[in-house]
Amino acid sequence: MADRQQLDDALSTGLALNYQGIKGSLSYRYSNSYLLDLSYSWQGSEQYPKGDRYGFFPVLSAGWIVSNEKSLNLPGFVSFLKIRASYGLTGNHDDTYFDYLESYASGTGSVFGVSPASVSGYYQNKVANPLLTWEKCSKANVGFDMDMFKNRLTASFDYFKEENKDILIQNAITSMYGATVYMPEGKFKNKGFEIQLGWNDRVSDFSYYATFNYAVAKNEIVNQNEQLRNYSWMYRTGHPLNTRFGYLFDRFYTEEDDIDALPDQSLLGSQNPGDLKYKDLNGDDVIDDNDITRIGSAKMPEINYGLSFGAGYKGFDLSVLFHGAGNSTTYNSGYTYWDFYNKTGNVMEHHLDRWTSGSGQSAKYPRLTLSNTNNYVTSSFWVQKNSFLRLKYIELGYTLPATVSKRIGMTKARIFVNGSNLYCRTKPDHKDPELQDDGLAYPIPRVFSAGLNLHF
Amino acid sequence: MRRFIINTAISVLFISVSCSDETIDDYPANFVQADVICGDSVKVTQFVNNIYSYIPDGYNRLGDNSMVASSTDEAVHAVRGSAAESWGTGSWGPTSIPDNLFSSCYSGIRRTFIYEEQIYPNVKDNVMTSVGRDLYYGQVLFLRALLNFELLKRFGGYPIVKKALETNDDLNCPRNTCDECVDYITGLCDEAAGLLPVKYADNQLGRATKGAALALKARLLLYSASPLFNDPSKTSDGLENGKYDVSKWEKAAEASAAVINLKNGSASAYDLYKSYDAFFYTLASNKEIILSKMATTNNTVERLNGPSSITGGEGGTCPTLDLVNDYEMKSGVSFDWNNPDHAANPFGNRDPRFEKSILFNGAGWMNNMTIETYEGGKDKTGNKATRTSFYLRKFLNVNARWNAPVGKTNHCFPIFRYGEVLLNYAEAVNEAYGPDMDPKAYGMTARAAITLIRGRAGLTGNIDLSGSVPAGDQDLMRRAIRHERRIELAFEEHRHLDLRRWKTAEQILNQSVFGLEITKNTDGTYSYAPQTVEERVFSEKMYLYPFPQEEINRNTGLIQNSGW
Repeated sequence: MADRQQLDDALSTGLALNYQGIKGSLSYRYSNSYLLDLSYSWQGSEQYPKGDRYGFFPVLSAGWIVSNEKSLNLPGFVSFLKIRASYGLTGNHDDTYFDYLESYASGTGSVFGVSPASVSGYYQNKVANPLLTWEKCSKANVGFDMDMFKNRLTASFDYFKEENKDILIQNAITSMYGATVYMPEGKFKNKGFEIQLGWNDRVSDFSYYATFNYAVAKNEIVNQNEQLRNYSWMYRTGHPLNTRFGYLFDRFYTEEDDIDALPDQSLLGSQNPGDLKYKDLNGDDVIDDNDITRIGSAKMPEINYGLSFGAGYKGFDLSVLFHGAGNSTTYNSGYTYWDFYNKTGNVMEHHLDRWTSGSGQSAKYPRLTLSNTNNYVTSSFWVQKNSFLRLKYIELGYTLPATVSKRIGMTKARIFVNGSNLYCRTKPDHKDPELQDDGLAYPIPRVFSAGLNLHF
Repeated sequence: MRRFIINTAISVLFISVSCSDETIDDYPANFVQADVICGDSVKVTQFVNNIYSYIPDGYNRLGDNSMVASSTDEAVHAVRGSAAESWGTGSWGPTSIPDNLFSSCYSGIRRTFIYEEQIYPNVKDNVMTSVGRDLYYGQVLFLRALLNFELLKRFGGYPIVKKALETNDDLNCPRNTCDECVDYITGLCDEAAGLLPVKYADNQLGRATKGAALALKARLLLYSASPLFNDPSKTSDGLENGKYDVSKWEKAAEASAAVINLKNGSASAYDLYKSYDAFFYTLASNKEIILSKMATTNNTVERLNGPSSITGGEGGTCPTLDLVNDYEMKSGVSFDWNNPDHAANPFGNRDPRFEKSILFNGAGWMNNMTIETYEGGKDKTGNKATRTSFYLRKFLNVNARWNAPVGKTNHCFPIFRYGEVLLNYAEAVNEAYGPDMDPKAYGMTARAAITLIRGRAGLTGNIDLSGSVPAGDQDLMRRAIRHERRIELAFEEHRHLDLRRWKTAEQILNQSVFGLEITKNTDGTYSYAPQTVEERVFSEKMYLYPFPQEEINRNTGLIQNSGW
């Protein structure tokens, strides 16, 4: 089917983004066991130069319902088994705005005259870039779905691998070109798996269910045309997106240290006992940009899991939902963690464990200071694991028997109490784990409610 | 044969619609296109104005507000750890080049080609006359030549870019040889000189003139004749040196003579300005300026090099004792600490350029203050105090103030000035024909050119070097000319390149530089002791800069200079 789309960005003064293209799909079923689906889109965007405006994005998926094969004699407890795989190519639209066209604008001028006066300048502010085209993402997926024990146990598994390429990145070419240019040379990978298990059953009046899911996804920047770095540990490429970089905390300076004899950290500020000492990665006795490396694991959790269960018995019903995440870190900072932050912040309970004379390396926090650039440069000291398990939702309800509700003129009457965000087991205890680093912004509220559902 | 139960469903949905590119063809109205510029003479001018911003800055242009001079034997930077210090002490390489103009030069060059390809041919007569168009085209050619020269003097042969490159061009541009680069830039200078006027109206001072194009050519040919690029052992043209040809000195002499003999009407276009120090902050009726990096009035240079006793003074450029010692006595004899008369009053009776270039202990300075750089003196204390006991005086205007009441004065860094042209001429003519010959009748011998420089400086004895350079002694004249360049052009970003092209940097920039420890005695007299302030490290590979490593990585055609 043909498709024309216009995305208007209400916030910008730019022209609307126009797309058009055709889509189609083809399905094939054979013997109720074999499934083959092919869909495609032929998508065009006027943000790309003529000739490169259209991208062809097909998705092919195949499935085999093994349980429909009578000849295979699957064990009796398996009621359904489907193995499936898919491979597809999709196109992402980069954040470009007519970058295939050139344009001119006023810019830096010069100064002339015996009484020197500034004059305006004009220049080519956009170089026509004929290389722009769709950012491509290939996605491969294999998995299975399985129902067992008369559909009481359901299970599914998926493994996926994604690769984004032709991401536009800046200055991938020699500066002899003489202007800033974006080249479709960036590459990004993402892979992982997802498991889902469910059980539901009924024993006379008592019904119950439980589902559990667990997903792991790891991403990696494969190429972003990173600037040349002096040491291998300084490279951002090869790490997950948005990985933090900073100095590695070594230990606290103490009274016993002859600070002048230790690696020179003076570029970061002045050092006194109780301040943070960082590792000199390249061993040149100077702590500088060359000693900055990856600190902490990914910013976004790489593991996400959830558990929900519930039960019903003679009008009573209960449902519970847990959500958890792991393999991520947060960066403790700002008003919710640092002492006298910005000279207007508070001191907090965890500052009781600060370094004081004699506490050596047992302190949990550097000495308190009104301002101290050395301790607050980005470093691993402030990185904390950010895994959590949250009781996201729980609800208990009671539905009046139909005979009773009819008597009072209602088709259904249910009374319930529920609560959300009732419990959270987490590493950082001073802020909500799902908030930004400095913990500012409202935390996710704990909410209790009780109510009646009445149907007339 | 197995029997298939065929239970197949095929659904195909194809709807083709006309999807020619024309159906989506918006064009943002605020994308100004070249034709708008070509139709507006103001915008044409502005396009050229923009390219002028690519003329390199001078003064404290390196990282940490340090001067190029502070990487040589002229000075050290007051605050430790500056970019100039890294450079001078040999801590630099392909991944950290303190004086890295590679990308900026090519950006500027690109804009000259945008002008040539897209603007210049499309400006109609009713928008700008052909005379006006050529005037701007000449300026653009000059700027292209200048930016190419900036590359050549740093890297030797570099990849010449002769068009506005496109992303689908082959961007693995190989280096050209030295002589190819020299010839290319010479051609640009000649072409520009043919289009440019000798002088503009006063309110256009700073635009490229015919003299600027000729002065660029003169310096270019001087460099190409110098030992670094014109080495007798190199019999063929290459990436790091040209083909040895002794007649290159003659071409250099001829090119300098063309500037000296350039006429504005019947008068000489250029002349030395009467005052050595005022030259640097005077624009009106200053016939010594050939081209300067123009700037609006300011007090930045004073502040960045200001003595530490003035609030906000950054210390900045601290002239070395080595340079101080090289200023002659006013009588023309060399200064000597072992001479009791000299040592008793070491800062008096010196070449008048000394006190116009350097602030020393006891010198008077702004706000009627006296510089005190003895140990414990007000200008020798504070974390931005001088490390050599000297401060910079050259370029600075005593009336500038960065503290209230603020005073701003002119500071337009000389890119080319007549004084330099005379020195270029003297050097080339001496190498080509000796100190006292003028066989091509340019109107001046090497000795006569030096005499003009020393005369303006205000030396009272030995102005014509007759006391130290016997007639016809080419070697002694060479030494005298090199000395004269060191003094006359101090801090003007010549020294680091002169020592390279003379191939003397391995000796001169490989020894510690000194400051002076001044002790105030109880009787009010001073004792002086030299003191090492910084190491200088220079190895053979440093005669040419390394190409930035990321450019090597991105351009397989770019061959790194040897040793890097």
